[in-house]
Amino acid sequence: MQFWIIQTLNSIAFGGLLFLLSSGFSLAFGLMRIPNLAHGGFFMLGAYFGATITHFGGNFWVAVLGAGLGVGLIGILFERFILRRLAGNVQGQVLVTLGVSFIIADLCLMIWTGDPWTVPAPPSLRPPLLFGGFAFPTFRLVVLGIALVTAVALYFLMDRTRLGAMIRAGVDDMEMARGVGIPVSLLFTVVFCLGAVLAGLGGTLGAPMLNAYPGLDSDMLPLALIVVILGGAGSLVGAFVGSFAVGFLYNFGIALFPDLAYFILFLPMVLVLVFMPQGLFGRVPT
Amino acid sequence: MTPALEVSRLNKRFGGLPATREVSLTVMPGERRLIIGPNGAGKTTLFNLITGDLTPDAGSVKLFGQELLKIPTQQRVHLGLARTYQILTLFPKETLTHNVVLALLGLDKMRWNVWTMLGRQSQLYDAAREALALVGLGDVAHRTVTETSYGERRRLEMAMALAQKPKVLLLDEPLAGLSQEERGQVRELLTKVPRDVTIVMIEHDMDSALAFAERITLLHYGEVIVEGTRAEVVADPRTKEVYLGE
Amino acid sequence: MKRGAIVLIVIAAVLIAVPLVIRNEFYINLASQILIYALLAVSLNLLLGYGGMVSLGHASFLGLTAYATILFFTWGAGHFTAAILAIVFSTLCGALFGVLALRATGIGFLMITLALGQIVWGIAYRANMLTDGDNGLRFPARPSPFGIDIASAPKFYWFTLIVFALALFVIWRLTQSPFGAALQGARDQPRRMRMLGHNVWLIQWFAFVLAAFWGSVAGLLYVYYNLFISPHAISLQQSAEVLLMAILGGASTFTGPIVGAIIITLVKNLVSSYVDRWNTLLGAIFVIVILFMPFGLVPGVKQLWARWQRPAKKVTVAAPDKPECAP
Repeated sequence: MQFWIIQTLNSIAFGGLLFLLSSGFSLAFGLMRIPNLAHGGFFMLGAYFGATITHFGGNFWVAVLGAGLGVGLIGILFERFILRRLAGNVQGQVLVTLGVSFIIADLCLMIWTGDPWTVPAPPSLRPPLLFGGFAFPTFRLVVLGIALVTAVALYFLMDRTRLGAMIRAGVDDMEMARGVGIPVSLLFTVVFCLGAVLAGLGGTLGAPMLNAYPGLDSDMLPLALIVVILGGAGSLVGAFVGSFAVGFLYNFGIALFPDLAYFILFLPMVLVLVFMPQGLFGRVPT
Repeated sequence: MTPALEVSRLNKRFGGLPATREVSLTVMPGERRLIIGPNGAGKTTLFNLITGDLTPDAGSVKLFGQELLKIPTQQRVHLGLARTYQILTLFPKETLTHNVVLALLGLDKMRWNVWTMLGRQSQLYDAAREALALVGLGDVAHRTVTETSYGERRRLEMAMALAQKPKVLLLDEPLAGLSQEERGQVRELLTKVPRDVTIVMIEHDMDSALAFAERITLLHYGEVIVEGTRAEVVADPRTKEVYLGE
Repeated sequence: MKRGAIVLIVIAAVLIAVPLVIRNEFYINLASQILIYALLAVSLNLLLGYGGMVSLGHASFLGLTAYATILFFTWGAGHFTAAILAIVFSTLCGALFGVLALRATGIGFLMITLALGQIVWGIAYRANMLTDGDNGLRFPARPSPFGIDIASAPKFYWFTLIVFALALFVIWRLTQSPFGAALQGARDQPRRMRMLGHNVWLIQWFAFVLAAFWGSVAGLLYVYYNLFISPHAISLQQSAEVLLMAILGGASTFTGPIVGAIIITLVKNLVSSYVDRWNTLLGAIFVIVILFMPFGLVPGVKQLWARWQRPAKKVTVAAPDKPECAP
């Protein structure tokens, strides 16, 4: 019984983390039509930035913010100076994100070496929450809470602000959006940067659970891909549902069938891509 | 006699928008049919439904009695259907001859051959050059598409379609964008097409196309409004309404 | 004698002479490696350059064949049988992957090939019972085709050279064949091709299978060369490297991928002996090539050569033509 409860909690918390990872990825994919193959790298960079800040004595929450801003900055630079030059060449853009993912992975290995960096959870959140005779990991619940708050904030952004309306318009019909005067290039930068910031935040928030290690990027990217493919590119609801679905699949999968880990991840992805190219919620056919 | 093309109660909606509504059409072999209508009347959509680029929501399309609905586009071509496009879709970096060769290959078993040198298939290239000569492009056959004029490219599209000796030829605005002289050339070409090819043509430029047509179908908002001989359609008050009522 | 034939003969002579002139075994082996990757890149280019399909999972055919060869051999098949079975197995996988991947076009195709490549990698990495995971599998010794021993570096190089030359010839014939023309037509104007009677899906699927087949042949050479296979050889990074070889050299040409393979393999080997940052360099080259040289080197060089040979031709442009698209 204990096993199932713990695994369920872990899955939900992990799902929250995945939402931070995939929501930005999904928006960028939906709007710009490119799967940012460096997104796992952004997450990993966030983890390393956060780990470095805490290592030098910084407060955990400062580390989270710092990581978010740091990765966000890298995202803006990448979008502005590299992606924008390839406007219209979607395949070129995807390949360039692949190239950047290699650079990020290798430079991280060089800078932070091959040993994992740990990030301790903030001391105030370490004692477990006692409820109904069970001890719940406080930190993970907080991460889940942050993810939920982010989800609500993103929902408001998309549904109630002009920026959100413009993003939705762009996802629905790029030509039309351009036609009505929406500043598409600026929108691209904003969305891409938002994705990077969220990934950076997620990286540090996840670090107490996952650590920062070489290979974190290639562990996380497929998850983001699967969430978006299951949930549909450009759909926040899809990213939300998908994140928790994948969180469960991944956690229980790894716990019960460690040898089949890759199948459990990639097979649903291939199946959905093959049978339902627009995912379960999405509007953008891949 | 079996109609060359029989369209029965064809329907197509795009989301909420009905693009084609209960369209029925019968074209007899050897006929010269003109499809007219204002912009957005659904003329090209109709063609796309006939060729299989679009799947109808309801209705049927028969080519010499053969139901086309479940048959993929490329197979409809093998059954004798050919089409030119409103927006030129040619192979820009290739020579005119090569463009026609690709058309000829479409119906030739040789297209699956992975070993023979295509360049050495002189009979294919001769047939291609012949098809180009028929449309008056014999002199420029060796040029690449980018080195030709717009009018020449329109004629190339037609050469590619005619080279396949189709039974039913669908022409989507073959005169669009052409100069007076070029229009004359294309019109003359069309009169020379033998009667074993049935022609259905969409045209916007009524002055040029009217002389060509034997029967005319007028579409508006996806529906057939008037159909009949040229004289009948021209005289019909609904025709004037459709064109002047806007 | 035609100019092209003379060039070919000279190149052939140079290639054959390599082990005779260069005595250092390391460099002879490097040359064998280059031939193997050149074949892999040319096979990928059937999809990329000629077919217009970007695959990020092509290294998996190298891996599937390599693993299958070792496994079939270990299970008792003779060298020849193991080789044939392995190539057939890998090509059949290609047939299946093609069906899956061609459910989509463009980015969707890319993602499916990426996912499939990762599944193959994942199986190699995790199915410890079969593949011994990260440890990889060893191949005991090179075979002796027709009784000829190819264990030494020069002999193996000549063996590879012969296979490479034959493969290249057959692939070249394919690009010049009616099917080759249809494949390129399907790349440029799929809708038009359908309307001319060509079965575009079948053309592209067949190209996928052929690319998988020739990639598998490269995989066979690879396992004979290395006498070892590990999951690393079929990682995403490897697929990206092969893709880069084709793009860098020039995907729109036949010889481009060969040039790309030479450059990338040389740079990789050279750089790796001094510094550990090959991945960064790979990523950087990727970005630079896509940004500044998307057509690759060979077309650029051809243009310079042509311009040097004679002055620019006057070209009549009457109506706006379609913009060229980079691969």
